[in-house]
Amino acid sequence: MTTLRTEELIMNMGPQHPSTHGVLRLVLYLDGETIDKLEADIGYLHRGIEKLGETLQMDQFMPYTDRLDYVCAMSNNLGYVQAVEKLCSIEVPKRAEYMRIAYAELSRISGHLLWLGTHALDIGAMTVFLYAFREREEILNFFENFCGARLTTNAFRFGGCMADMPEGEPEKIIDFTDRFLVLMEDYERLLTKNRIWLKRTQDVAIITKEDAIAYGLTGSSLRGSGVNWDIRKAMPYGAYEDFDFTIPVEFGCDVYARYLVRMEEMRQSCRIIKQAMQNLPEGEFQTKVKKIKAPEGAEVYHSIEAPKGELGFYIRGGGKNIAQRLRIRGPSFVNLQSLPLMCEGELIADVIAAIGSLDIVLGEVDR
Amino acid sequence: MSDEIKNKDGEKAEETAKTDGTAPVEEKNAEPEVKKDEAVAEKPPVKKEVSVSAEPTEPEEPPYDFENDRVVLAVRKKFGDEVVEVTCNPILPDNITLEIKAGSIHQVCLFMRDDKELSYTLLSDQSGNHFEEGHFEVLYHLYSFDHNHRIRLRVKLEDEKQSINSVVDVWPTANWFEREIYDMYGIEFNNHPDMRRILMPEYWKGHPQRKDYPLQYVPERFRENWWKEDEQGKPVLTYEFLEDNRG
Repeated sequence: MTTLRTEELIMNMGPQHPSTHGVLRLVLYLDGETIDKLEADIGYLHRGIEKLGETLQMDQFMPYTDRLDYVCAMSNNLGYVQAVEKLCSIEVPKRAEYMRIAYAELSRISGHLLWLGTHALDIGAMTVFLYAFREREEILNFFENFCGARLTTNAFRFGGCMADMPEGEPEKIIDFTDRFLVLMEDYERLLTKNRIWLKRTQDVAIITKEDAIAYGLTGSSLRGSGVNWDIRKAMPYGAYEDFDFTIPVEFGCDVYARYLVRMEEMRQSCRIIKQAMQNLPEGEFQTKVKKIKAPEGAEVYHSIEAPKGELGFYIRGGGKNIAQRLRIRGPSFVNLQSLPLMCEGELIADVIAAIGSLDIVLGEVDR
Repeated sequence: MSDEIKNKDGEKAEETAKTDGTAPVEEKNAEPEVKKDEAVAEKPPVKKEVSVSAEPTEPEEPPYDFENDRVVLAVRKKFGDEVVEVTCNPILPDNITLEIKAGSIHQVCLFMRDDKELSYTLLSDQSGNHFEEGHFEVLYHLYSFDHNHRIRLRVKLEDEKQSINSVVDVWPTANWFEREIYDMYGIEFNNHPDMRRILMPEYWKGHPQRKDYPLQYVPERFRENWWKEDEQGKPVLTYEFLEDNRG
């Protein structure tokens, strides 16, 4: 018996590839269909946002945060606004806090819906994509009513929001959350117990709890590996302490576990939004802030639970209203790093499932 | 009646404002209730301005005694002089910063991860910083799941050539963080498994996040502009020009 001579094959996946969700290039070192080694090449979307943050005034920088994780811009706005407020000790009215949380959670749902649609599409389920985008459209309409923009919202300001909530909007949003919980069963019926879905996701791209922490995984991917950690609960920011919600945790460590976590997160977000809209306090939506001035040398690291994970802003004041250093800790950048660990030894088709389950957005990876 | 009450409140607020910096904020909350009683339509509601001063106003509570913080004491006890300075933002007691000497950052990180009392198992963020004066900083933001606590480590480097050890073997997540710091600032980490650029193209010259890096478009920096034509129309590589004029 002679054995067949095999040769390592190097293959590029991306930067233009529909399942890499942006301009991500993966270099796959293949042995047949098995992956020996995987290298991620990033930087195709690098725009120097951190550098811009050191040259622009703090309020001018707000639109740039929309372009980090461009599928859920409200969360980025929230993280940046709160970091600056913490640095300059600006008070925020209760009404604004509730509005912010409602819109940030809506953007979490919209981000997760985009993830769900494209992830399922990558694996081969077409219908979920259409369903998910039907609901996402409604959320984007809420954003449009509120601030005029659908994706790059630029909605929050230091000390509040850019506008008050439109009349009758809370009732519409409550109505949407009620309907959404019913509609979610449509997605679940198509996927959760679907045999093809289970075959493609269960025991695929496993990352253990210890590895997940060591590789800095945060957000839903970490909770899919059995770590019960959510910044909304661990270090509550804004008015999250006022709301009643739970943090879903799964112990499967695989693509399916991450899927289950995100699905449950959407339900919990609905609960938060409903509570915020029902108990929306009266009052002002914006404190009048005289001048933003960050003391020289004062530093702050503020992180929030963005849909993708821990979104951190490190700001060092420069004495004026321009930051001396503005560092953005993008969750996708860190989460993507664990992709080689998940994929090595698996098949090519599983790489696509793994990328989908990490839920990366390249605007945030490259900044 | 309501006018009198309002005046009294106003006087009180003014009195307290003289002594206490935080009073105007409290006054703002109390105001809308009085406004409702009056129900005056023609007067637009006056929004109180909350001034944000550069100097942190004197807090009511005594400032957080960060020198005797559990973590600070533990690290000081183990490393002594290796901890150069401990600072804390007076407004934010959870923002304690330990400044560590560049030579011992790896041991300190290892200790902070493995010590049962500290157990900072997550490296949240690692970033660099460059100052106009010329020195560099590397910052580590650590998080402990067991104690739900954050801390910041700071290493000051006189220039980018000063030696600093990598912490990739402590937290594997530092791999890309350190590559990014190298890419943006030119600080090279010893013992790093894969020290090369990450965000900028491999052929790039210069380190964009430095304060002395030009903000304008420099055509020579882009590869598509490396080829120029001479008088005969032949392409000429301008790479050497770049080598001499790196920023």
